[in-house]
Amino acid sequence: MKVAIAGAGAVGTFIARDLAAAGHEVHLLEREAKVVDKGRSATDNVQWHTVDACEYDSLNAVGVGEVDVVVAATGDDEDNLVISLLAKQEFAVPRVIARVNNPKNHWLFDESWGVDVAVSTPHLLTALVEEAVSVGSLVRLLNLDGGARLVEFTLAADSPAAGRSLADLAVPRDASIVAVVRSRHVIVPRGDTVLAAGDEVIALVTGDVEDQLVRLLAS
Amino acid sequence: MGIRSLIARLSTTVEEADAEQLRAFCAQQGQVAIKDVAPRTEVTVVGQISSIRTVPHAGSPWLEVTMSDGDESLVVMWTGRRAIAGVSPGKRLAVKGRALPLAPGSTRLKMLNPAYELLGTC
Repeated sequence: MKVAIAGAGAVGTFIARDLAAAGHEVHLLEREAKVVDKGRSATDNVQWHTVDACEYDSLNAVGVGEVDVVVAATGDDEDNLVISLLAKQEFAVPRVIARVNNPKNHWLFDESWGVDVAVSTPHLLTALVEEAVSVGSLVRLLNLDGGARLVEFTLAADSPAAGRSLADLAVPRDASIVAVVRSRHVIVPRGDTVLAAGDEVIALVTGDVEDQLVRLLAS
Repeated sequence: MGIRSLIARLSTTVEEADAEQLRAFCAQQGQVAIKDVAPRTEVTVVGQISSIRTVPHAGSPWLEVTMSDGDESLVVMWTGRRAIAGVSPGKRLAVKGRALPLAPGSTRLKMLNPAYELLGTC
């Protein structure tokens, strides 16, 4: 896969190194020549470009027209939005991933700006913390393309779903239980899988049916 | 006009005749046919607007225009717009930009915010 990463800060450099190690063709775009000189020696197999990723011409010169993924990983939300918009609109990049630095700006990172996936560290942390502490409430793990999201629900002892099979449960349309985690083992859900208290139920849902699913699983 | 061509003209449906006229017009413009457009390369295509709708997308209205060159159709989206003066069904226009699949894996194409030029009605 061919990947272009904008911004060679700690985040950008790390992603570049990781992806290059996994065998992908990685281009790293950085405006500051000093940063490029310093970082170049520490990364093998990463192609560095001293350009401003917010300019159409420099993206064109780097060959963003052929890359499969663009990652806007600069420390500046405005820059990340501009890079995402250019990548999607001018170069029709199939997948654009943008880093959200200030969680207050998260709402801006959507389709209108060409962003396919917005990654916000604070939001990820909240989800992880919630997941660790909450039993009997729904935790949103990940938002996917097309409005679906991956959610997790740990069944409380008095959950009405405990002791019932999935076929019995009548999961609403537009929701699908994709895995059940029980005492550190993954159970592939089938109609005859019987849920038990303490099970972590992982489901794919769209926003509308989230409440229905909660009603099924929560007491 | 020979008898044969007269019969041919009288026996085609209005839709076929329209499509034929549109194909001739588009071919005359000397641009790439929509069916030959490769994704992600910059092209100019010509066609006639067959439908228009405003779709809410990520909290803002998007103008979604379907244009056809008589053979194949292309979806053109303008983000954050409800309408563009002169862009209405039946109008012919040229759009310039890079096309991408309408949905992942789809063979139909769309263009986001292309440069456009109105070419009139007929």
